[in-house]
Amino acid sequence: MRTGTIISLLILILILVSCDDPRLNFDKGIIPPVVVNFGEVNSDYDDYNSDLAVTWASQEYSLIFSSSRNSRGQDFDFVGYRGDIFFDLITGDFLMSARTFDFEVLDAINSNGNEFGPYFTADPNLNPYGSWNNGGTQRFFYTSDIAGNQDIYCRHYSLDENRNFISVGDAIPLTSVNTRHNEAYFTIHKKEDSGNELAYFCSDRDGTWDIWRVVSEEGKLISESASAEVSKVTRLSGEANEKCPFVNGNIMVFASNREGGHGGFDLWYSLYDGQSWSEPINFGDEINSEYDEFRPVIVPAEEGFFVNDLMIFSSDRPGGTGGFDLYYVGIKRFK
Amino acid sequence: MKKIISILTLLSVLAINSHSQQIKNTIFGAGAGLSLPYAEFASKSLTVNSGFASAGFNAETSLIRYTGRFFGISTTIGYSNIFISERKFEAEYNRVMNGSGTNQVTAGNYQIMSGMAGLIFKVPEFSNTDILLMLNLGAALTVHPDITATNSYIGVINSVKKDADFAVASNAAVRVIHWLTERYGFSAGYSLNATKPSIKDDTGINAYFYLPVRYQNINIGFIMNLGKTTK
Repeated sequence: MRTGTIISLLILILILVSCDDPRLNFDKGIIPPVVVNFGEVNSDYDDYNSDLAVTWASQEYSLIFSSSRNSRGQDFDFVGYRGDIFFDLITGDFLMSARTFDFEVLDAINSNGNEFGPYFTADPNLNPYGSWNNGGTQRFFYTSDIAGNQDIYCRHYSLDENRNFISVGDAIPLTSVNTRHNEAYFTIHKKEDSGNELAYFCSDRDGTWDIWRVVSEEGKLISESASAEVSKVTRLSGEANEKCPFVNGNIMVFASNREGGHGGFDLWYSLYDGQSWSEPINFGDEINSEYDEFRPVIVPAEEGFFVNDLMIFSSDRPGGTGGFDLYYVGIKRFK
Repeated sequence: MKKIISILTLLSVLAINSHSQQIKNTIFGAGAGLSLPYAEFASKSLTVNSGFASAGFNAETSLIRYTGRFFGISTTIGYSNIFISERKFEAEYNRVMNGSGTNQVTAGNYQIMSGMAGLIFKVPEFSNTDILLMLNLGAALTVHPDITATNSYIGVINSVKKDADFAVASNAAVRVIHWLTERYGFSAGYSLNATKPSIKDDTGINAYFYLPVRYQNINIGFIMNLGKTTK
């Protein structure tokens, strides 16, 4: 009886002292607010403009970007990666692991020309079972100079059980947008809610690279519209070059070599108030350098998990692995 | 200092000249001293269970009852106040934030109030000196202070509100008692203390956390024999 009591007491003590949820040193995750070279995906060659989709709940991402690695610097093709994003609430370590992923649709897209400006409309991590809300196919927009000048194309894709992007049909040139000049970096503005689809891209059709707005035909997607209303966004387009627009929510980020920067192309942003875009604001010298920064992509982080948002971009600043590299940085959350 | 030496000398003389003898089977002690955290509780890096605890102070009283030549029982009531190193906390946040903004940490102190009882193994008295090995078990009320870490760029990056919890506590101690008279003496002690309270964390993902509190007490104090006097 006495032995049993002692054993019970010891077990009780063991239970009481063995609980091990430790104290967290961070309430939420923090994406490093200083620029980090995304060394896990960069190569000795140019690693350039990208699109990134993150599912914060599962902490997974899909990344597609242009790189000249496959042709040893001859031309740009798309390469794909998948990985995990993780923030340790105890140590404060932020990790983005990466592994190459062979997106099937890229085999259909990559050509002898240069492919730039990927923009895909689905996050493959969101629903691994492929039940998408618009009929099962998504659109992959990109720029290619296979026809001589840079034009924007769209290719449909579906997702298989491995969440791979499977090409559906042929490439569709955006005839309502493309001209004999260069058009590139297509991005859809989902916040402007109407019967039309609205998007932005950049073009040098007026002599310098500017940001242009395109509105589809009523009730149609831009990729389905034979004609579309195209207009220059004068608030964002100056005498300098504005390239690589990317819209997420009410913020547009882009690259420009306009005055007020830190040298070369800098990253700028503009906020949409429901009617118009604000004057561009430079991201500052914590992100920009005296070298070139291109193709910023903003990925809003889940508010419950992170205090700031993620931006990925490319730069040829010193300290990289060679040529242009991809970098990521945490930026303040824009409401 | 001179006064203390004078008093101790007087007590020694009284002890030598005393004709009465007291049975030392019930002893009251009181002491105070340093509290020194150890293990993860003393860790000052952002790691699992790190407490960022620095040195503090403590006070305790105890009642000892010898039950034989080698054994006894004891009860102890103690209080410890242990500081948090805000500077080291800030240094760690500075490291993680890598120069983005400035970080500030404000934190109160850990406070532990414990009540324990246990067993004593006693080396028989020699040269008016007892050496006791004590093993105690009981409960402790641990008060976890407010902690707020703020980054000038992001805002509050960590906050824990003041909370308290009772938890099982244990203690292993060595105490040396030296009798100056049949009734009075002084003691020096060293103890290892452990408890693991559950603390509420409203802003944390887990809502609660367990903090292993580990500290050493190094004390000096006085003792008084409450035993009966015999001629």
